[in-house]
Formats: sequence, C-alpha cells, structure tokens
Amino acid sequence: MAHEVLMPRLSDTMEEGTIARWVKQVGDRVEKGEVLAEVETDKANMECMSFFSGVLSRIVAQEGQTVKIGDVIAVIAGEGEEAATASRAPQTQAASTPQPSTRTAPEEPERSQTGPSVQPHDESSSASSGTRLFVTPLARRLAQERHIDLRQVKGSGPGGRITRDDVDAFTLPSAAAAASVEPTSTTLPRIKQPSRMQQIIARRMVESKTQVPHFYVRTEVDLGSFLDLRAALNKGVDKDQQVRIDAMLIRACALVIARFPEVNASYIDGHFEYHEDINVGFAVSLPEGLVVPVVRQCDRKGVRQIDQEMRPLIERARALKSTTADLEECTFSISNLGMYGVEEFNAVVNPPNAAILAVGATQTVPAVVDGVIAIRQRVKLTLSCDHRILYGAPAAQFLQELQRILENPYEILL
Amino acid sequence: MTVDLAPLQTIWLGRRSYRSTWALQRALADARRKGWQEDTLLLVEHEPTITLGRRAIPDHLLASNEELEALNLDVVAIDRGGDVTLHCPGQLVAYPILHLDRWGNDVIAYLRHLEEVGIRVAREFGVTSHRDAGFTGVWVGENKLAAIGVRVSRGVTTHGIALNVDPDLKLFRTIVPCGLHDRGVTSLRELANPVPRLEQVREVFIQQFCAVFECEAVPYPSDSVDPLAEFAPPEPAPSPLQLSLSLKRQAS
Repeated sequence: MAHEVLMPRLSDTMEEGTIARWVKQVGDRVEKGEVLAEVETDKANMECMSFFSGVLSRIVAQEGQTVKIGDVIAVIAGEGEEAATASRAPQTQAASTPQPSTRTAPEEPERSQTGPSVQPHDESSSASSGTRLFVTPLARRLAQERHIDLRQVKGSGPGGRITRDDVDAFTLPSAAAAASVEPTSTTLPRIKQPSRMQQIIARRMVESKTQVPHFYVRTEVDLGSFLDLRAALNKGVDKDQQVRIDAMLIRACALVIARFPEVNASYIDGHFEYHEDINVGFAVSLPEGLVVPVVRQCDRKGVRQIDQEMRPLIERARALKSTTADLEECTFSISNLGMYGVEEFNAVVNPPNAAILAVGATQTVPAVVDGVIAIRQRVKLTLSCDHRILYGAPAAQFLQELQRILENPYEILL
Repeated sequence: MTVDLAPLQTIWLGRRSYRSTWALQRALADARRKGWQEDTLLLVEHEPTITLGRRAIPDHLLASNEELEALNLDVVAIDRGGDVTLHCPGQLVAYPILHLDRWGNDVIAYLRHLEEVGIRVAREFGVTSHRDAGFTGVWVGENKLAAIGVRVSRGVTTHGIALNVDPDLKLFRTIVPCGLHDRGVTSLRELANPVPRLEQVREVFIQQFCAVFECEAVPYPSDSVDPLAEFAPPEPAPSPLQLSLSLKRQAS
C-alpha cells in the first residue's frame, strides 16, 4: 500500500517546516530509516527519515515550500505497487515537479545485487494449485537469500502479489519455530506516529520517571459526610450545574496544601522553589491522551467558583482546544480514575510538581465506626511524591490532614 | 548534594579555515553518533569566509567576485539552516557537537538555548541583548550580535553560534546578513566598555554554555593530539549551489 510521508514534528514548538532539499527523487528506492529530505525550521536544518520502505512515487511539497506539520510532503509506494506507480508517476510528476525524473528503474539495484545464482525454486511456474506466482523483485531476492519457498508464502499485495512484508512475516515465525516457540500471529504491529500531545506525554513521563525519585503514601478516607455535603449543596440544582466531586476535592487539597509548602513546590535545577499560588491541575482523559488543565489560586476561591472555572477548561480540553494558559503554572495535580471503578493506583508525578494525588473509586464497604461495623463509603487516596523535595513524614501528614478535612468537610465551604 | 554533570570536551582550535573546521565537525558528529566521542564544543576563530545555508538566496551575497578576492573571502555553501553568514577574525565561533537525545531532540529548544548562552555571555560584559521572535540570533536593538544556524543529523548537532567580539564590521557589507535587509550587525567592541579580548569571551562562553546545557567542560583528552589530524577527512566536494553560484558569477 502507498504510504504518505508527513511533515515531521521536530520540536514541540514547531508549527511548520520548509523543504530545504529532497535527498531522494521520484522513482528512487527508499528504505525505512533512510533520509528522504532535509527540512528547515527557524534556523535549523534537519533530516526527515522515511518510516517506510518502497519507491518514492510522488513529491508533494517542493524544495523551498513551507508546509504545516502533518501535511503530506510525499508518497511512497509499497513493493507491490511499483508497476502501478511507474505508470502513474509521469502524470503526477508533470503536475508537481518541474523537471521530470530521469530515474525510472527502481528494480535495477536489486537485480545487480542478486547476481547470477541458481534459482532454488521456479516460483514463476506453478504452485500446487497450478496458478502463477506474482512476486515483487525484492521479495524474490529476500526469499532466495533466506531459502524460503515462495509457494508457501501468502501474498498480500494487489492480485495476491507477494511483497517484502509477506516474506518478512513468513521469516519471523519460522525463526521463532527454530526456537521451538509456537508463533501466535504472523501480522506485524501497526505503526502509527504519536500526535504532538502523545509525544509530549511520552517525553514528560520518561522525564518524570527517570529524574524524579517517586515514593507513594496511601490512605483510606470515609467519604460519607463529604458526599452528604455535596448532596446538600446540589439539592434542587439542575444536574448540569451541580458541583462536581472534583471541585470539592480541589478545594480540600488547596486548604491542606496551604499548610504544607513543600507539597506546593518544585525541585528545579538543584534548588527548591516554593510557589505562592496554589494552582491545581486536574487530569482530563481524552480519546488519544490526556491534558491537565489548571485552576488557579484555589486557596482563595470557593467550591462553586472552582467548579465554574473547571467547566470551560474541561470543554476546551475535550475539544482539543486547550490554550497554553489553560495548562500553565500548575503547582499540584490530581488524577481521578474513580469513575472507572479503579480501587487505587499510583500516578506519575507531573513535573515540576512535587506531588500528584491519585483518587480511586468510592466504594461501599463495611467499616468499623465507633466500635460498630457499619456500611460506609470509602475512597483510597494515593499521593505520589518527588522525594527530592517532599519527604515521607510531611507527605503522610498532608494525607492525614486531607483525610481530616474530607471526613469533616464543612471547612471546605469556609 | 552534587550532581554528575555530563562531560563536554572543549577544544580551542585557534584560527582555522572554515573548510577544515567543517570537515572536523562532521567527523566529530559521526564519532558522536557512533558513541566513540562525548559531546564536544569546538571553539574557533575563522579566516574570512562567507557561508551559505541550504536555502541561501544568492542575491544576498552582495560582493562581486573581484571584491571577494580582494578581501580574501572564501565562499562555502553548507548544510546548516539559515541564509548567508560571514565569519572573520575577531568573531568567536562555537560549534557544539551534541547528541540532542538528552534534550528531547527538540531542535527549536536547542536554538533557544544557544541564544540564551549568547545573551548570558553579553550580560557578563555588561551588554544587554535579547531574542527577537521569528529571527533566531542574539540581538541588541535592531543589530545582530550573534548569528545562529544549526543542523541536526541523526540526533547530533553541527554548526552553531558566531558571536561578534571585535570583527571588522566593514566585511559584513559584502552580504545581507541572514537575508534581513533592514537589520545591521554589531559587536562587543561597539557595546562593551572595556572591550574584552576574544580569549576572555571564550572563557566566559565555555562557562555559560556549561551552565545552560548542564554540562562540565573537560579539556580534549590530550593537548598533544591535534583533533584535526586525528579526524581530518578530505575536503568536501563543492555542492550544487556552490557550482550554480560560480556559474552565476561567471555569467554576470
């Protein structure tokens, strides 16, 4: 199948790139990992690698042209399509390239490398069923090198043509079989480029897990009074205007954070930074990632105000339209997976925060209250901490205090 | 608490031709990619040379062939980003050969870091400089104090930053620096009092580079080994743009 080559993202802040030079020309063979083009952005020149093998069948963005990230800059035809693209290429080329390519024989290098050798099988004659085998030149060469009987390979290309991928897929299980492991599948993994958000998440999470020494403290909280309070607050209020549990949690955290400056702090460049404002970020899950919008100065805002401020933040986050300001200056984070029934989990610290609170599901469980077993609503809270700045005892005291406020929640209304 | 900083092999090359230094950069970058070499910072002062980036516009080279010859100016078409740049004695040129893996492979962030180094160095000599969004470089007012252009190939940087300490500013009339017609060029000589020597600027540059890039300068393993001799590859062949430029000259 044909693969579209997209303008790569070479920086978090890059929006567009300019083709400085095409290293490969239309008709050239391209191997995965080879440099296709040089791309320029700002004052930097970088290489754009191919994620696919095949033949460069079309150049969409010409040298000197500036295109947005993710726009198609070229098309690479797969092995099985060489013939098809060869016939199509001249027309598309005439439309897009000023000078027609002189290179039209992509199979040539393969032939020359093959050299004279004895054909192990005459694949082109007939298979057991008596039908003719269609094989791409590269696939034929690879099969020969690996002593693979092409009659046993299933072709996935147009008209059942055997492509390189088919030969590769055939090779893998046979290698596995040699190690006497039963292959479970012959399909190769699907390759997909992460979105910008996914790239940022990957980078930040690695940064956090490799640089931040995590430790975790956990407590179980009785949410009965807290939920009663919420019910009282929301009595007679339209469902879509009811105060969220998360708004109340944020407010409760902010009140406690005010008493523990090391929770609202960052370890940056070898020094401690204590933040004046208590800006609480809350993780919003999206179909392809997550963002952490921030409610600012939560210690100075009431529950309703926090709740009202969360609404547009969530709306923009879900529409993938979060502004930079929405996500900036977070000093403490909360991740709530309670709605998925998760009992408890450990969150990854969101740098440069010192801590993140992981909230599990509220569960109706028997608990001992005043010496009597009662049915209570309980939740497990886990605080992940950056041990460079937030140590065990203060983290534990923080949770203890948070537990106290959640179990005697009227304070959050003050 | 002490932190182990990444080592940065720092090499002062003295005054060298552009072409031989470019060849050295590429050899070091190749060695860096293969893991044979740590991150390196090359520092050099060039003979008068005009370099043309990948997308340089030939018209931004203003001087005629005769003028170039009279000024002893070499012209080299190279593989960095950016337009036309001039190097000459009195300019401190730094070529960091870094693996950007440690920096999230974010090339624009890398440019901003280089600017930060330039700004900090200027500040050390009492000169306030700034960035200009959309115009990479270190600026004082409308004039450029340091030019920046880089290339990242398979994760490793080449080219870098050229800081004007005390160059002959007249030489810059031969080009439209970075292709910007309405901007000028300045130097620490014009701005700093007292005027620092290149050696002083070089030491401050190493210091500030290490601060910004969180590394620790270590001298090249042996002062007796000439990195040029060790890595020296042959001179590069002229690029197509170079050839077309020479054709353009012949025609005009």
